[in-house]
Amino acid sequence: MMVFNLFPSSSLAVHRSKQELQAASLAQARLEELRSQPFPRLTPGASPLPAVEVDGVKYGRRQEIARKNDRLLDLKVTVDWTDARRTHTLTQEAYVARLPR
Amino acid sequence: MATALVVVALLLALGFTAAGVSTSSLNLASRAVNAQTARNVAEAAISEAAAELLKTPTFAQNVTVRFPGATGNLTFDRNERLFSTNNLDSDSSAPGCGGTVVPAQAVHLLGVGECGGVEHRLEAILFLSRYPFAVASSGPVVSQGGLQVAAVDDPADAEVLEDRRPGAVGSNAEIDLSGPGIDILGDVQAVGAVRLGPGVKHEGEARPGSDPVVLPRIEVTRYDTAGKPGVVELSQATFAEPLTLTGYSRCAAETLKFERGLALANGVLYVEGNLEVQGGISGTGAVIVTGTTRVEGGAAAAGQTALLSKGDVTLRGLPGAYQAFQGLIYTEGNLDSRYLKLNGIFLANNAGGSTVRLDDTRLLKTPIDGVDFPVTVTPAASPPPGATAEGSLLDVVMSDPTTGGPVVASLLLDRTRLVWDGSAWQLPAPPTAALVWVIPSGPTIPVVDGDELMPYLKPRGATPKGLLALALPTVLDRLRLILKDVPPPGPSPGAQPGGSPPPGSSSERWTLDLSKFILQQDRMRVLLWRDV
Repeated sequence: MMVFNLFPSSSLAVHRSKQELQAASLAQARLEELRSQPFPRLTPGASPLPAVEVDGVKYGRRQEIARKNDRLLDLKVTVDWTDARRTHTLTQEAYVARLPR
Repeated sequence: MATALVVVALLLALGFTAAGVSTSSLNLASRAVNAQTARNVAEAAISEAAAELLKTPTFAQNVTVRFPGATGNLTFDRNERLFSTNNLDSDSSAPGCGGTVVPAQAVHLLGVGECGGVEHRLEAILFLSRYPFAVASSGPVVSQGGLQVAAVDDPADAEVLEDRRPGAVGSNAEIDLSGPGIDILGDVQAVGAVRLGPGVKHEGEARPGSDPVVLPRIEVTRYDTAGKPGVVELSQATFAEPLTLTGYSRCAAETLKFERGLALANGVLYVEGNLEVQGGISGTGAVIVTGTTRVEGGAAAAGQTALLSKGDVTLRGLPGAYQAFQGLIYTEGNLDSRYLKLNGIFLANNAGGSTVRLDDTRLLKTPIDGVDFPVTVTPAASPPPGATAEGSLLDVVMSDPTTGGPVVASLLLDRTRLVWDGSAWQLPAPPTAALVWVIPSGPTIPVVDGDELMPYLKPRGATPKGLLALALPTVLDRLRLILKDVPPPGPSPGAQPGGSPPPGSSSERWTLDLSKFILQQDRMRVLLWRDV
C-alpha cells in the first residue's frame, strides 16, 4: 500500500510545485507592473485583481500598497489557489522609492 | 515466487524514483520562490536606502528590511565584505566595493537579500543629475517650424553635429511641434498630448501623459540691484545710442528702451518696468525685468548671460543675424522666440501656464545649469584734478557785479554718479551742490549765511541761491567739457584680460545656479540597477 501511495503522492507534489511556481510568477509580474508606474500614481490601499486561470487552476490575486513615508512605498501581491485538497497562498513583497527610472 | 519478488522490487524502485522526482520538483520550486524573494528583499534594502538619501544626502547608515522568511541588508561600513559608498557630496570619483568606481555626486548601493538559504545581491548607482531640459514650460510648447533642440558637452562644439547629445523638451500641458525644419534630439515629455507633425525629425522618446516637469521658481525681484555697491541709476528711459553697462545698474521706468543695442560688460541691469531693446543684447551679464521684455535684432551674447523677466518675453533676431544667448532665459509670462540661438536653458514658469512659442530657434542644452560671472564694481569717473575726495571742486570765474572784475567762486558738487551713454557723459539731474566762496589768499568759506559774505562782493539784488542757480548750469557745462577727454567705463587702458581691475575697484560674483531651485529628490536619477 505504501508503495502504491507513492505514485499519486508524487504526482500531486509535482503539480503542487508547478502551481507554486505559477503563483510566484503571477505575483512577481504584478509587482513589476506596479514598480513600472510613476510613483505619484501608486495610491495606497488594498484592492482585488482579476483572477487568472492556468492549466485548469484558478489563481485569485489581490494587491496592497502601503506608504512607509513620502518617498517609499511597500507593495504586496498575494495569490491564492485551491487544489484538490486545500487552499494555498503565496505573497511577494517589494519596496519602491520615489526615483525616476 | 522469484517473479513476484522481482515485481515487488521493481515497483519499489519505481515508487522511490517517483518520490525522488517529486521531492526534487518541490525543492526546485521552493528554491526558485526563495530566490525571487531574496531578490525582492535585497532590492527593498536598496530602495529604503535610496529613500533616506532623498531626504538626507549624507545618509550612510545600515539598512535592514525584513519580509516573512527573508532579510535584506545594506551597509556603508567599509570593513564589511559587501559595502555601499556615498559619494554624493564629492566632486571627484571614489573607490567603491569590489573595485567599483563611484562617480562624483553619486552613491553606490549594494543590497544583499537572504531567503531560505538562498542569497541574492543587487547593486545600484544613483546620481544627482543636472537639469535635463533644454526648454521647459508650465504650459504648452508649440512650434510651426525651424526648431532645433539638442545638447552639447561643450558650447564650443555647438556647430559640430556629431558632438550633439539629447536635450529634452518638457511641458506641463501639451506639446505641438509641426512645420518644416523641426529637429529634436531628445525626449519630448508632456503631461498632456504630444503632437509631432509628419515633417518633424525626432530621435528620442515621445512621452505624453507623463508626470509634471519640475520647473524652478526663481524670485525675480530677489535680484534687484538696489543697494549693490556702485549701483548706477540710469537717468533716462530711452538711449538712442549703443550703451555698454558694467557693474550694477538699475532703472525704474514704465519702459526702458535701448534703440541701438545693449552691451553687457559683466554688468547686471535691473529694470523696474518693461524693457525694449532694438539691436540685440550682447556681452556677458544679467538683465532682470519686472515687466515685459522685448528684444529685437541680432547680437551675440558671449560668456554667460541671464535674462529673467516676470512678464512676457519676446525675442526676435533677424533671418540673417540670429540673437544668440549663452546661459539662461527665464520668464513668468509667455515666451515667444524667433531667429534665436540659445546655448543653455529656456524656462517659462507661470502658475497659470506659460505658452512657449519657438520658431526658427536653436536650443542647445549645456552642462552648466545657470550663470556665473564676475561683476567689477568701479568707482565713478574720477573728478577733475585738484578735486576733493568728497566731490568735485570746480572753479568758476564769475564777474563781480560791483566791480566787473573776476571773482573766483567755487562750486562744491556732492559726489554724483555719471553715466556714459556711449558718446558722452550724462549727469543725473540735478546734482546737489554747495556754493563756496574762495577768497584769494584766504580760507574757503561755505555759504552758510550769505548775508555775511555778500558785502564782500556787494552783488546787487543777488542771493546765494540765485548765484547758485546762475552758476550751476555753467558748472555743469564746464564739467562736461572737462570730462570729454575722460575715458568711458571699462577696463583700464593697457589692462590685460583677467588682470587686475582698475584701482579702487572691487569684484564680486553674480551667480544663478538652477540646482539651488530644484529639490534634490527631483534631481536624483538611477545610473545603474542590476543583479550582481
